[in-house]
Amino acid sequence: MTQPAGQQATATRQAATAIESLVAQILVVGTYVAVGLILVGVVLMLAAGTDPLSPGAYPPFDLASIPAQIRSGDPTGFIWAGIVLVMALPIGRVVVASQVSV
Amino acid sequence: MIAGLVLVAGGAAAGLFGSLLGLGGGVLLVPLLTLVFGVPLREAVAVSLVAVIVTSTAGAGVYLRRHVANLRLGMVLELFAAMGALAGGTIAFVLDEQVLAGLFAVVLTWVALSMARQGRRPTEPAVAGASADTGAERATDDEEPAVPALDAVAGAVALDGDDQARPETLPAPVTFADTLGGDGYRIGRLRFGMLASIGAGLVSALLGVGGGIVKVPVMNVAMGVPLKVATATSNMMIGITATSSAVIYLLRGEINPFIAGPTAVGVFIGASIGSRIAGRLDVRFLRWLFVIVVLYTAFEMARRALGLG
Repeated sequence: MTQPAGQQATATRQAATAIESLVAQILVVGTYVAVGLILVGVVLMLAAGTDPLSPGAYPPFDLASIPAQIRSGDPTGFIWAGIVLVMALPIGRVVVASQVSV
Repeated sequence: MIAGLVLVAGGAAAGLFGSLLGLGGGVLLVPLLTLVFGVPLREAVAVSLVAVIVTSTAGAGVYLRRHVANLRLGMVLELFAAMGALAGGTIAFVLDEQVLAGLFAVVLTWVALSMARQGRRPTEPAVAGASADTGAERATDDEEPAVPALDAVAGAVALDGDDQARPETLPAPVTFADTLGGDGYRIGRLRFGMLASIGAGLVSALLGVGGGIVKVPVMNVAMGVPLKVATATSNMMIGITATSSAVIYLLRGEINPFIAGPTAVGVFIGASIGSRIAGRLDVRFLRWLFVIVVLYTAFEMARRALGLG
C-alpha cells in the first residue's frame, strides 16, 4: 500500500529534522571537546613557560605523533588534537548529512 | 606565560567585539595578530582560520538544532566555496604578503563602510554574534529563532519584513533549484550563487575570514533566501570553507600551535560571552568606535601593502 503524498512529505520532513538534530548535537559536543583539548594544551604550555610569540621554529604538525605527545603530557599534542578535531567536525557534518538529506 | 595570556585576552577581545557587532572573528583577529603582536600575515591568516572554524562550528550546531539553516542549499553551495578555498589556500602561498595586506585593507574598508551604513539605520535588528550559542540563548528567551547576523554586511542588506512578505505555499518543485528551497521561499539564481561561493571561498582562504561578507548578501539579495536562513546557512558553510583552506595551511606548516591554541580559546570564550550579552547592550556607540578602529586598521594594512609599515 502506498502512502499518500502528504504523509510521505511529513515523514521526509521528520527524517530531515532528526538528522539536523543529530548533526547539531555532534557539532556542539565536538566543539566543546575540541576547545577543551586546546585549553588543556594551552594551560600546559603556559605552565611550561613557553613564549608563543618568541620568534623561531614551532613544533611541526605530525598526526602520527599526537597520541604519544598526549601520553607524555606535551602541550603540543593536546593543541594539535583539538585543532584536528575541530577541523574534522565540519567534514563529519557533511558526511553524516549527505547520507540522508541528499 | 604573559604572552600566552595576552593572546588569550586578544582572542577574547576579538571574539567579544566581533560577536557584539555581528562580525566574524577573522576580520578583527588577523589585524590584531599582525599589527599588534607582529605575527607574519600568512601565519595570522592560518591562526584566524582555526578560530573561525571553532566559532562557526559551534554556531552551526545551534542553528541546525533550531532548524534555521537550509542544510541542502548549504551542502550544494559549500562544495563551490570549498573549491574556492582550496584554490585560495594555494594562491595564498604564491602571493606576496604585501598583496595580501592590500586585499585585507580593501575588505576592512568595505566592512567599515557597511558597519557605518548599518549604524545610520534608525531601527535595526539585534545583532548577535558568531558563536551561535547566542542563538540558543535567544531562542530560549524569545521562544522563536533569533536572527544572528554574522557580519556587518548581513545587517546592511537586511530587508524589513523579509520573511513575512513571502508566500506561505509554493507550487511543486520542478527544477533542481526548486528542491533546495525552504518554507515559503524558492531559490533563484543558483548558478550565480555557486560562482559567488567560489569567490567567498577565495576571500576566506586568502584573508582568514569566514566569507560571510560574500555569502550572506548573495544568498539573501540575489538568491531570495530569507536573511536569517541565509545567515545560518552561511555560518554552517563557513566550517567547510575554512577547513578546506586550513588543511592547506596545516600541511604547509603555517599553523603555529602555540599561537593558534590560546587565540582559538580566547575567541571562543569572547564570542560566547558576547553572544550572551549582545541583546542587552546598546551597541551603537561600539559600532561607531569600531568603524573608526577598522578604518584605521585598513589604513595600517594599506601602509603595509605599500611597504611603508
